[in-house]
Amino acid sequence: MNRQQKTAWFNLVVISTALGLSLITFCIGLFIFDVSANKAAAGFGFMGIIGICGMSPVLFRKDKNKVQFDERDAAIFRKANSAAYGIFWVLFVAAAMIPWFIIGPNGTITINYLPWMVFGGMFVVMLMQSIITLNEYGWRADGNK
Amino acid sequence: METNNLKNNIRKLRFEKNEMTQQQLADIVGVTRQTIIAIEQGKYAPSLLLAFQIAHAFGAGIEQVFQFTHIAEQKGS
Repeated sequence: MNRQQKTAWFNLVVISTALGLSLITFCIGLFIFDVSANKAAAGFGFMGIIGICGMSPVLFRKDKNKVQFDERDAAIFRKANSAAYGIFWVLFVAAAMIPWFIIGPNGTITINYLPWMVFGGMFVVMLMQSIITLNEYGWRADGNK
Repeated sequence: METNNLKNNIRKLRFEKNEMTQQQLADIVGVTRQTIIAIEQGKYAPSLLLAFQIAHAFGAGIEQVFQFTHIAEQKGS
């Protein structure tokens, strides 16, 4: 398994953990403690765990004696990036336009919506990059489909 | 419909070249072993430069290592 695969797996596990904990906490608040959806949404604070993804360059260091990144890795990196940003752009435009259609041009939305759009975009990009990278290399440890 | 197919003899040439390992070939041409595996299995088409480097590593011509087949299929055939 090369450095890119390790990073993709690490990001995928961290993102899944963050999403899982957030949803579990949200559901516990909503259905077990019977609090309002707004209060239960505090469970999404667990999404902050995604910040750990920034540790991957430190955790998976480059081995100076070995070739770590070649033309195939570069091609997979480009493909994963363009697909992830393509999906992000579609969702970002949808997130910007859908409220306009639902509440109309004179309606108002909470200011919380804007940072969530940016954070959600980052989340989608990292998730899709990881999935596409692992799919291109193959999900097995030797990196072949 | 047209299909392009790039076949190669890398595996055969490696064994003829003192049973060279995939890692050894990867080190010579400056790529990862995974890339050599992917090329051998026909899952990745190398760049022209890498193809020449691989051929050079075996002391062979590029056409001895890689074979290109262009299949043009006509509708209904």
